[in-house]
Amino acid sequence: MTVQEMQVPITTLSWNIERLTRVLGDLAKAGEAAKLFRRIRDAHGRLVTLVEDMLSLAKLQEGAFVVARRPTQLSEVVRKALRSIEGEALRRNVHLQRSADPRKIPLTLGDPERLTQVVGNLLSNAVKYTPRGGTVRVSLRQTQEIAPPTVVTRRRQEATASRYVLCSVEDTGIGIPKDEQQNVFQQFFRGRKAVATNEGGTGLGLFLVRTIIEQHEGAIWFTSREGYGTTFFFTVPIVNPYAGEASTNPRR
Amino acid sequence: MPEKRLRILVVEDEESLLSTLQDELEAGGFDVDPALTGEEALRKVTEGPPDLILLDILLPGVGGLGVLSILKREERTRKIPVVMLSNVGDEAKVQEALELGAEEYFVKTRHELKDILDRLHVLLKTGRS
Repeated sequence: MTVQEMQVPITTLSWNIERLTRVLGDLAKAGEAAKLFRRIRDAHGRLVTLVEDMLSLAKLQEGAFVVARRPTQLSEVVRKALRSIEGEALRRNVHLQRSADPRKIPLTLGDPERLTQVVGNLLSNAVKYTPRGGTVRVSLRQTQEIAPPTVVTRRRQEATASRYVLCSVEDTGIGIPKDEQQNVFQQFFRGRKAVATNEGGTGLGLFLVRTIIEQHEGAIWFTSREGYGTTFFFTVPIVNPYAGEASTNPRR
Repeated sequence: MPEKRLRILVVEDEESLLSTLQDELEAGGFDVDPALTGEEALRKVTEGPPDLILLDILLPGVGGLGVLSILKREERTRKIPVVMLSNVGDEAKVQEALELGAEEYFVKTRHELKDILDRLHVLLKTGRS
């Protein structure tokens, strides 16, 4: 059996759980059955993520992990990712905020599927590690640089785009201890607190996130202060950087 | 709401997915013509072009990309919008499908049926998205 073959039953479950959710209507009012159904849905959601991570890793190992890039509106990506995390945020009493005027965000050259995976993963981590009553905020804005000068990115030298959209996911969570910060993007790395709090995870999420962003010729980094919170940032090149301005803004 | 129900040809070899898609599309106001293989799909298109084709990539025989390239090569079928359904890990094929002229693709495990339906309503301009 291959991991791929798991996708058919998983998709059948996904789509029928979705239909059943609609058939049952407002789950909050349906009592015991709703509670059991929610557990099934949550477990299924985790299974979907695990299988996707395993498949992505298998593809990476055979060198066949690619992104399919096309004009993509990141505010739409953010909207979808937020929708997928709403339920969990509500249960954990974490407020979700977004600050972006969709009309002002230019189209990026990206794979909408993969970027939704990226934002979804960052949001999921942020919600997981933010205490009750905390806030997770997603922002989008346009920027000139792939990353601030202090950020080490292997993409800086080969950066060809002169304009990027910068996405940030900011939380008021527990923060990442200083001695663990350099390992955050490593394959299979899991923080001490992640292990101690018994949060599910493969240690693949952020590794895949970084891989996806690098394949988009963007950069990813974060700032974190223990006890105060963490902000992840990533950039993705926009479509058709204004050719006319290239002369006044020479590429480095 | 159009007077005539629009017809969608759904090409999917997995029975459980095909019947789920069929239920959802019919509940969404479409007529569904199911096909389990690429060959069956091509035959049905020849018999009468549908308004849209929902096409799985991994199919026995001629395969989704093969069907797509045949459809886009023929003058008579070139204009039928094709939406691809793919699995996680098919990204290279997805890129190829977009280059061949597919309108859109959905990775099955990552999309709710509602997303797919909404997109079909937009593509077919039914005014129900």
